[in-house]
Amino acid sequence: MKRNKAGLVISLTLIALLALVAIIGPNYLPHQPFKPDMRTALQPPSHEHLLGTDNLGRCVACRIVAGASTSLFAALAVVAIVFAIGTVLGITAGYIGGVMDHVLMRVTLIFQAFPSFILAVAVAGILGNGMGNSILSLCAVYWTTYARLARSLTVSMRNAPYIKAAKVCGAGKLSILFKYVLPNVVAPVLVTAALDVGSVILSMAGLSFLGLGAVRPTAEWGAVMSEAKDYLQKAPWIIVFNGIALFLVVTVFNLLGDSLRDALDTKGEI
Amino acid sequence: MRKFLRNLAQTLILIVGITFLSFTLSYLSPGDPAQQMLKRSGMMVTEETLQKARHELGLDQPMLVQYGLWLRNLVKGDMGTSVKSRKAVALELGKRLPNTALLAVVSMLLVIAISTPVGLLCAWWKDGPLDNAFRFVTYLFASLPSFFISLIMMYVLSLRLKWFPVIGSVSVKGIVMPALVLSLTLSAWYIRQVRAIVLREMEKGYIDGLMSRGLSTGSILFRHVLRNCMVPLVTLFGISIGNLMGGATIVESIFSWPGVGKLAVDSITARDYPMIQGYVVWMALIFLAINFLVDLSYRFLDPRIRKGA
Repeated sequence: MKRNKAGLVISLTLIALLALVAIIGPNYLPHQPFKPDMRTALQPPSHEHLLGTDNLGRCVACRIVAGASTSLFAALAVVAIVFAIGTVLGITAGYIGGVMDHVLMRVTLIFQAFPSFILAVAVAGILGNGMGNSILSLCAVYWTTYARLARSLTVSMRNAPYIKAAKVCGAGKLSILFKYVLPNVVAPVLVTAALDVGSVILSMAGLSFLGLGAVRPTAEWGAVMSEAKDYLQKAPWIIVFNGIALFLVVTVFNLLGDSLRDALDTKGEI
Repeated sequence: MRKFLRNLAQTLILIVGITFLSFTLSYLSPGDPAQQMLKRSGMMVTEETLQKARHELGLDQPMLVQYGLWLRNLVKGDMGTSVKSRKAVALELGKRLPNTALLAVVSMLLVIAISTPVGLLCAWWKDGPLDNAFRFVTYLFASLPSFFISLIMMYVLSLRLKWFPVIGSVSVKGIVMPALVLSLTLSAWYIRQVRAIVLREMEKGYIDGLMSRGLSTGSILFRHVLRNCMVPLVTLFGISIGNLMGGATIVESIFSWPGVGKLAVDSITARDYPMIQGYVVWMALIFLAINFLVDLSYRFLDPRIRKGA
């Protein structure tokens, strides 16, 4: 238990640091992250450019910092959207039951019938590239988990004594849903959300790598790595450092998810 | 039998849902097929010819009617024509599908060969050095994007050591790297799942019985525990096929493996909507079919299900 609390503190601290770098970091960069300078193209890591330069002579380290916010905010946006939509749909369907519940469960099953990354690729591919569309495409993939989880938790507490008591006291449906059902559903759904952030970041980077997410000249890490793969032989450091950045961020969020799950002890429910 | 029919009915609903969702996606796509068709045939694009082309393509019909027409063609095997290659979508997909299937089968065999023994042993020596080492390794792999692993592998094995060609071909040498990347990332997830399933099984009393009878570790794990874990393990297999198909899009396009995943990515770049649509429908239907087979296989794996039903 103690170790898990430590994990929670460590991961939250690291995430706060990361957010700080992503938000104010771009203001304190030694080089211009978006301005090409052909005189310094494809230089290996040096004292001047700590992580080397890319094919257009831009500082890799500066671009990593400049791209951090794109990945982070896109992933957080996806998780926040599916968390909100999934939870509201799930508890409403679970509490009201009947046709609405039946339809919602069918629809989630249909979405889940698609291999998840393929659904994301197809939605983003058809809507066209751009950050907004790739956020939408990942929402289409992830919302089902939340709706199903919130629904099943609601169904399991529909006949709990405190719900019955609220009903007897004359509470309306809406107030029961949001005052009594929602607070009891939030914790396990929140853990799922925390556990998903890492995988959303990875999927988002994957979409960008395929050319579906961020558009140039954004320094989104997946898109940068996709551009840099043509220079794999001459400048492997671009891919290596962007990959490490991606890896570290995902690891930190996975650590947060795991320790949050242990701290809230919802293992049995997920 | 009644259960089977109910399953079949549910599967049919799913198929309708899958096709409807895929159709809706293309329906929402920004391109105008009538305009594209006119441009391709070299005809003048005027309001009049556009109207006529829309009528010929059935685009002036209500959405549900269009869906019906599209579904009828789909059942007949006609998925439209690729905008890019001007060949039938079904033909192009069919040509590439065996390559993806080959890659998937090889990767899946590797995954099973790696993760079943490792998962079993990690569970047996829970919290031992092997378990801790693999917990660390699987944790690392869960955070590594597959395209990063692919590119690093390509840099080391192709560009530096020159063991494998950079541009993949359908050959033994060409399949090694894509199959390795797919199976390594999936194995990381699989090992943890196998470990969890086996740990749950090992809490059961018969394990103590087997141990008190003096059976060897290998015999208990591989002859008794493994057999009793077959149903959840096969379920896992069904789920992971979806991951494999999704991962294949990235890995195929990096290693230029001529499968459906690469075709899909190329089609997206070319804005070839009929192709993307055909790809999504096919992948979902194949995924569904595999999971249907997985469901059926339970009856053979577990006599209790066979007799109980």
